[in-house]
Amino acid sequence: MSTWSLLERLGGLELLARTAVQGFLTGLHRAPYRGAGQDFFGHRAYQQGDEPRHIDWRLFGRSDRLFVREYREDANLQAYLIVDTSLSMDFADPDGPTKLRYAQVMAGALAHIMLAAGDAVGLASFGAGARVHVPARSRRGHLHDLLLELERLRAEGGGGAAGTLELVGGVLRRRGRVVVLTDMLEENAAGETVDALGRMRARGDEVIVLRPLTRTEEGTVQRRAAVFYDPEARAGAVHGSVSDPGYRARVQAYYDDIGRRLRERDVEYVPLSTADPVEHALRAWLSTRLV
Amino acid sequence: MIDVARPGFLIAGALLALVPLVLHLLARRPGRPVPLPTLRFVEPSIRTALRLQRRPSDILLLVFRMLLLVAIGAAFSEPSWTPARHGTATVLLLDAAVPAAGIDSARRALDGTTGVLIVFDTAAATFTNTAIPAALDSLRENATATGSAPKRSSFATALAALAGVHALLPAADSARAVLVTVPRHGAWGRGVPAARATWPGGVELIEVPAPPLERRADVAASRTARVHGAGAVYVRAALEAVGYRVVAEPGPDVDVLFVLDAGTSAAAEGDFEAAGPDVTVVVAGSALPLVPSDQAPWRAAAATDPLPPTPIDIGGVLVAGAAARGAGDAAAGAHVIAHWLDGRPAVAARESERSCVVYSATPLGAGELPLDPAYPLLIQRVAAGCSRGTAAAPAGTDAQPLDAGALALLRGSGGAVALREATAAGSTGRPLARAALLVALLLAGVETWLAYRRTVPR
Repeated sequence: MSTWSLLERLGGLELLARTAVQGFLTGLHRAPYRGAGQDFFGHRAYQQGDEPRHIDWRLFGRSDRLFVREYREDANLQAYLIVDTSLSMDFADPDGPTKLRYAQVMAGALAHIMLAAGDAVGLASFGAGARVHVPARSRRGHLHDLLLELERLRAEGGGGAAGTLELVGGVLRRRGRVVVLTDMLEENAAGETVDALGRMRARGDEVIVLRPLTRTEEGTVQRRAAVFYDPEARAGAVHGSVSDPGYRARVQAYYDDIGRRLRERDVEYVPLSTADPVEHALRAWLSTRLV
Repeated sequence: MIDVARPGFLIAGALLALVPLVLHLLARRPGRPVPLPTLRFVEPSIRTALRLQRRPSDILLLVFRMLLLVAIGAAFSEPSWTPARHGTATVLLLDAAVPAAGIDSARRALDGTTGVLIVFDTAAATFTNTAIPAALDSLRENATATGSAPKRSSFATALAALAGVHALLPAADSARAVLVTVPRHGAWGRGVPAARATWPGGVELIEVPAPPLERRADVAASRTARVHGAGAVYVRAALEAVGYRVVAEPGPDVDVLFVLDAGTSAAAEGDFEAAGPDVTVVVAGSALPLVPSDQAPWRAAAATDPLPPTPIDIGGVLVAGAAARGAGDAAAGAHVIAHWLDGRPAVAARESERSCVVYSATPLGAGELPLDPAYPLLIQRVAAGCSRGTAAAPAGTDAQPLDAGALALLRGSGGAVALREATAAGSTGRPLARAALLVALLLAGVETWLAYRRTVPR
């Protein structure tokens, strides 16, 4: 039984996400995490549950009352995790997680990290339609709400991200961060999605695309020639192979082109493999954020 | 029924048809179709498709491939189709000389069976199916109108006509031959044994009673004869056929006394010695020494180089079948009754103060002489003795009955003849090789279409 499936059985999404975060933090070299607000904003009365490290002990010594420091960015950064729930995400390598599951864990881990850093995090999805599941919040207990909604996501439909991006763009009141977890397998080489991402970036929002893909889809796993079919499409089956160099080259070329177009729009693009542990993916993402 | 000229090819085709079946059973089943989120990156591969399809997992394709191989084998095996045959047909040989009762017997023999009617006299006419009743009706009318007018018939002609009946009975499994006739010597000929041999089965013989004979006006109804010696039965039959009353018991003188050989009984010698001056004595062959030399019509000679017997000419009528030819010549004072074909005397007669003595240089009741249709004529002429009347065909010559041997030869042995054997040399089966080849081509086309349809990606 793989670690992934074990964690699934033991604790589900929450355990998976927490394990990923712990692994991520363990390897973290205490590099400053860009994006978490560091500007002092003010004090407020201590509430049960506040982190002890935010308690201003100097003020306590003077007043015999507990106060916590508030920073400007903590209350101001809004982040949305947008998860692709189209049918193409419901594909897995043998003994591996589906891309949707991987995205769910990845999103859960990111929510954990960003909420810990004081960001307000919301959740949206696209597939069957554009939907905002959870508005961006940073209050206590919000992580639980996010994980709950993440767990409820199911693969269906085949719509693109453009509608959801517009929806999220409409609810983002100020400069925000949008993390899109998608395999970018849309019609017209995801042209609409790329354009929508570019528009969002042009508004000033920080846009990151995390692209999970299975090894089978990458063409990096040896597999016998077989008859392949697309469960989502009505087209017929194809006799072919996913192991030949031609297939890998075509896949690579497709995603290279998408990466190029995203970078042209100043959108961060991080290709991921579902065969890699989520914490590695987090590190890969983090490497783009180091100051 | 379908016959196969070269069954080896059919067997080979059937064995080859097992090859795709074995491959089907041994080959791994192709993997189940694999879902993939998108097919845009998968290049359709005909080679892959063909490799996957070389495993004949498709049952329909497998069946067509097996049928194709069997059809190819069948095409090379030269199949032919012969319509099914049913039952035993009747081939009726009807003597045109039979009276009306014989025609009724023929009608009963054909009743309820498929058959062929062959009416014969010296020629044969064949009737089949619906023409048979009309032919029988016509024959019956003719027989009733003409009564018992004697006609000559030929068993040889009738038996020869049997050879071609298989072509007239395509739907029959076998055929039985039935001969309706008055069994008489008149219809027997030298070709009968050979003609009989052409029909391998038996011949049912329906014997029709002979009509009463007409007697010649110059033959006294009260003339009597007695016959002694080997072959007496044939001579007696011939004498009776020409109107003589043949007596066997010793008694008053007969008109004609036959002593056919020297080994006769004491009764024969007694008869010979007692024969009165009005008795015509006929001796033959080795019985010549019984006749005193001054009365003998023949002068015997030593048979140093015996000549072969030829037909005997009795005034233009030839009688064949003599068993032997005695050496010698007609004696002085004798006149020749019959000649061999080379002109030498065969039968001579001599009148004396005693009586008329006739000598035949050939045994009169031996060989095939009694089987000749003109045999009664010969006997009659010999019995006429020293009379110098011209020979004429006696009435009722044809009515001389056949002996048991001749009847047995006609009947033969066995039953119906299987017509399939009769047609073995020339089969009437319809060749099916081309049809089998067309079927094979059609199967090949369907198989190719099925295989192509599965290889072209949609």
